Amino acid sequence: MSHADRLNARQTKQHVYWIERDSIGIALYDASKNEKQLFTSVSAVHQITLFYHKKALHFGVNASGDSTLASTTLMAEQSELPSQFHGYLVDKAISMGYETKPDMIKMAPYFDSKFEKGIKEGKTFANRGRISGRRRIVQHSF
Amino acid sequence: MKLQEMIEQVQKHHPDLGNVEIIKLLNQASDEFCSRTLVLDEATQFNTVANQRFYGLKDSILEIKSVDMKDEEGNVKSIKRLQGRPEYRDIT
Repeated sequence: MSHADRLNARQTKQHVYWIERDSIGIALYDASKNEKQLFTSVSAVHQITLFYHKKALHFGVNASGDSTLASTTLMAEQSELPSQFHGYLVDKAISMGYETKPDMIKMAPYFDSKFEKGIKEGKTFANRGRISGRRRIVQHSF
Repeated sequence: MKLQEMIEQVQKHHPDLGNVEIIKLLNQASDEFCSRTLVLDEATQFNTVANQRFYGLKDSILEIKSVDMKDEEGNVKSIKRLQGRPEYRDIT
């Protein structure tokens, strides 16, 4: 493709997003406008879908953010994390418990190392995307 | 594993800790696990408001992976992330 073709095919208007002050900014970028009007707020109603990594819902809090500490179903709550990682949360809680006891502090690193093993497994699980077999590494030139 | 079982396992080592304290420790552990492994994914939808530029994000969001927008014809397509921010600021 020649340089002229590339220039002609260039999209001059497109929506963009960015993150600022714990918010997502969405604007229309128009390369043909002057510097002050390069970005304009969206003038119509558009449906936006965000795809993101998130923290698991806390124990004692429901999906609406209300406390369930006094609820009768509290003890039956389960972490949103896949079940194979639940034990590692217990290991970390035990480790943090030992960290507050000066006479037992030597026990903390043992349980912390178990949690670190869980972190490693969790990263592998997240990277694999639940697909078996070898991972394909795509090369990029920068 | 249910919360009850998790609390019981922690209390085998720390019988002096109460349920609420253990729940706090488990929540801290869960936050650390999620932020370091990025194991949980989710998608959420909202509608833009005319001439509004910013929309608040939930505290539970760790990293945004991608953003889709439905155009006037009903086509949904991914929109690009801007590096930095616009030079002329609009805080609406």
